[in-house]
Amino acid sequence: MNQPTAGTVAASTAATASYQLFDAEVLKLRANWAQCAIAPGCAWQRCSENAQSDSAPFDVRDKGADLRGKAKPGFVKPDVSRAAHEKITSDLAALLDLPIPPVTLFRLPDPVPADPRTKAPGDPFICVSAWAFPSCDEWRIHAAVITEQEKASTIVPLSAVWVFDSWISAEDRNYSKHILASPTGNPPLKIACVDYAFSLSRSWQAGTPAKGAAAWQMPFEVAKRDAATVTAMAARIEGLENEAIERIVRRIGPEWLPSARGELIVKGLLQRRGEIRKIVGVP
Amino acid sequence: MTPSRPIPNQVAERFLGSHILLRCDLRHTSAVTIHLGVLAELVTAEWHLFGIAARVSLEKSEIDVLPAVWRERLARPFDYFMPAFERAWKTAKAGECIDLLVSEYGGSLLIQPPSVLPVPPLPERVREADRVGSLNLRGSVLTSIDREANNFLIEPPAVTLHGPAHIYGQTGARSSAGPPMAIGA
Repeated sequence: MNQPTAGTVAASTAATASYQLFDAEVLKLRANWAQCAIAPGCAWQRCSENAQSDSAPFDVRDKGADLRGKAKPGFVKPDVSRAAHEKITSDLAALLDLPIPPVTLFRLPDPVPADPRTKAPGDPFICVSAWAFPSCDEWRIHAAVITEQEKASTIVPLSAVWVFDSWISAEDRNYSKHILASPTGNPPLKIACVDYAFSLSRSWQAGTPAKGAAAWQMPFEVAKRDAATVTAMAARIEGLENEAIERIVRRIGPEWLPSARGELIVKGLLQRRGEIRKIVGVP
Repeated sequence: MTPSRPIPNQVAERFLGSHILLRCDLRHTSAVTIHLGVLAELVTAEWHLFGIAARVSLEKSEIDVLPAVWRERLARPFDYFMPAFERAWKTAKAGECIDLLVSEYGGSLLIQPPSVLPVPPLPERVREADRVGSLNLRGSVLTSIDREANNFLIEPPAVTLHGPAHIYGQTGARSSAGPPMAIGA
């Protein structure tokens, strides 16, 4: 696997570069989960209360598979198809080899408890995001120990993610919170980008203005993105086939994604794929 | 003595508890989880209390299995968490101190989303808005933290704080506006 470091991905190699540093175990999981909407054989069980945030995420475990994951939504919130957005984002990212962890959809067995604080009914139709590394936390938790060299090593992968975020109109990005980091003191820094509920059909609802590029809010002072990576990722997105994009969206059941929202997503992805160079400002 | 005031109906008493855990390998259920401490938060009509019980130190065998990035910082868990505890006390609304920390610590170092617990039996006098009442209430909450540490955790079940722990709490009288008014630790 290529391991990009700052400044080492020249234009000639950017087209084939890998932008993630997942180990073989996670890459195998990603390969399996990206083949389908609902990974077969999973038996996820809730193992925490809901956190108090928009998606009310909670921890899950599959003892048989010896896996942990983070699930959402914690209760019924039909305004946004959070679980579907996370799944679609992860599957598209897998095609592009970006540092976004594997996600699968899952139906929790009955009965699903109500949220203990809001009393809102529980939602059995969830997604589960795998952990990308044995140890990782939000960037801000480790901000004081991440070295300058480690920070610099993230410019290339985060430049690639920025193009992707622009394509899917990811909003509400807060990189100190939405980047999980696993620092060791030695670059390249292992990172995973998470929390894509506010993207896709939420951003493309009727009546909302056309979206431009995503915000570039790095968790440290970096003035410029890596230009070669931006160009290469735009080309990689342009190269995705209609059939692959449509399959990823349309295989999701209506319990997670109403069909009208699914078609809105397909339309938006195909349209913005054709405009990606203009959106991110590359020739 | 100040007469007792009834708790207004619109103010619900609430008692929340949460555990502080370090998951040595996030991905696997079979991996070692180290129990670092407990948080509890009580809101009554008159009072807001926030308490922590966290281990003073870890044993060498535990430090050896910590992810390298945590070894130095978590060698003394209570000392590590105190700044975050005080920040949450100063900035969060009554009843949301634990939630603030949950929003920050959700990876290897985990502060669990709080469980809603039965409000502990409180002495009648703590309903009086005076210093003695507050101190008694804090004693009740900290005792409850100690007692509940083994009772409300979803996962892992039945863990106890291994080794000596420091217990510390903040107590503030609630007012209609602004943050709680701390009256001593």
